[in-house]
Amino acid sequence: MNTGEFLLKGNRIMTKGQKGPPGFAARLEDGILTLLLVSMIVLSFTQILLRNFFETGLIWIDPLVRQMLLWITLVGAMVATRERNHITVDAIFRHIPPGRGKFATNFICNTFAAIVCALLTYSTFRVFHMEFQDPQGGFIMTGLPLWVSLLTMPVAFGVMTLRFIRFSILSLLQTIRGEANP
Amino acid sequence: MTAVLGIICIVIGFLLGAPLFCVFAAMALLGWHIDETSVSVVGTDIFRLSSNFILITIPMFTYAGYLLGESGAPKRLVKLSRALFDVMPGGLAIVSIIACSLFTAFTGASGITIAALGSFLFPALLQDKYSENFSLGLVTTGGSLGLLFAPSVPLIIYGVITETPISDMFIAGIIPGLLMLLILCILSVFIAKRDKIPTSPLKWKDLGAALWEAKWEIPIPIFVLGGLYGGFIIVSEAAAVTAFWVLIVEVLIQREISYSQHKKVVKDSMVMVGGILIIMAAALASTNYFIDVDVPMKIFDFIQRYVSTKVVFLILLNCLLFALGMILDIFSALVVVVPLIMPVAKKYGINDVHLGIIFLANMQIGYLTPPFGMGLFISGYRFNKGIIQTTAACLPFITMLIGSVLLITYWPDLSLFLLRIMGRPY
Repeated sequence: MNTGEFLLKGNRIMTKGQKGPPGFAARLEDGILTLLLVSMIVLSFTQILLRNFFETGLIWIDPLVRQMLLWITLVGAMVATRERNHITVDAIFRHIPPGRGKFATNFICNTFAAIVCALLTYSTFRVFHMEFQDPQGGFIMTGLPLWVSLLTMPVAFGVMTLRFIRFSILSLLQTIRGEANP
Repeated sequence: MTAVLGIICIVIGFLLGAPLFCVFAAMALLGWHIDETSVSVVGTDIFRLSSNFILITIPMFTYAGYLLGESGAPKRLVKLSRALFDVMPGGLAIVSIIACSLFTAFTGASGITIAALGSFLFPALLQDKYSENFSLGLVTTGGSLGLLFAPSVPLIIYGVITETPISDMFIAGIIPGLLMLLILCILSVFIAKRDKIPTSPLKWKDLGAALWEAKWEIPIPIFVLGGLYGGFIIVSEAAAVTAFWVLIVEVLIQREISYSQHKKVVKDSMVMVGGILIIMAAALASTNYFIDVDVPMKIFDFIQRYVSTKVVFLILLNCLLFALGMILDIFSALVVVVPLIMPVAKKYGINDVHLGIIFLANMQIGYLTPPFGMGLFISGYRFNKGIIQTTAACLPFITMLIGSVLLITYWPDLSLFLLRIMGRPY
């Protein structure tokens, strides 16, 4: 639920207009999202046209679109991390008065998330690695080995780990200083 | 030792508001670690997202819904329904109920209905002399109405998790969904009559103009609802066609969405989708573990000691879901609770399809109940009203909805009747 968008506006880190690598990464992610979504829609639509009007179909579209769903999810989750817009249970957080208490809570949550994401990176990397080393590895479609899609998982969780570490450090600094703007 | 420490950390993270997907993933990681199984199981489970074809409908419907919300479509929808319904008492209130539920069916109870429709329905209701509290309550309630209609994403997710045919879920939702709308419409007519809200005669010219303006959007619900309910198209086709149609119409033909706005719509909707599906992936991993260690059976054995009949179980279920709805949003509750509850419910003789309808109808109310109901906060924030006032305004609606949820729960035929007519084995 994007309640974050409605409730926590002041609490978000604005990436708009950010320069340097983080700004570039943000634009890249947004671009990939649009590209993935639009190609997913166009490909599915083409498949329907082919199926219903020409009674044929392209075999590679369906598996590719299914992989695209995974990629959209991962990039969407990366952007959600960047914008601090993940779904959370904020029943308690909402009632913590602004100030040190809130910063400290943020610190705990971000650290927790960073650790879990790091473990997920490791776990998904193992899955990728096993497939990558398998000489008889599978293919999603001709020219696209399965390990390419598997690789997107550790990359995405890796990026999320780095972001949560950054948030964690920022909120630790805020807790020490007791104010929002460093 | 690790187990206890890990569980404490997870509970703390959950309560303080760490991202839910991390909480669920942590459960899976910890579980398999204790089980001395390789943690790469979790990675494999997350990858399972790409093995389900139905899931691709979620980004497409959500995108279509967000794009429609950002365009002039909500305005045209309301204009058209006003031309139709203003003749009867409570006309505008009925318009709000129908427009909101149509919109929520396409976008899920994500707060976007309140943002897209509520923000101009609310002033319009006030202008028509409805009381402030009634208008506020109506608009807030409208934010979660319509979850039981196709192509609502929670229904799709329920079908995916329980491996129930999506088309059956869509059909089962019709009568319970209509029941909720009907009850709220009756309440509205009653209030409008009591407060002597003026009506206006049907103006054919206005109706014609409104129809003409909405010519591009009218085919969407007809195509999607007609196609899905009539069984002409499957849900993945409906999603692709809807998304394609909306993209062409709103961006290229109507030109109401600029390039930069479109980028924002894509980002917002995909953040929502990514947020939901990453939770779903993590929940797949954690429930996989729970099922491996037989948690549903243990829950059943425990409950069976105290609960012997189906009715008592249903009462407990109602209370549990009601409480869950206050803390968790619909999507997270679905992916986490359903896999654990479903085997238990089955043992009490509750049909999968019926359970899904109970689940969503119940969660919908949790969305409106204090102290944690999300709908209250979104609406309160949006219209600048206090939570207490918003809650009070919602009370009559909540009461009505609770009545209908009880009816839906204890009268399974309400959900299954249409399916039986169509010859499905329920």
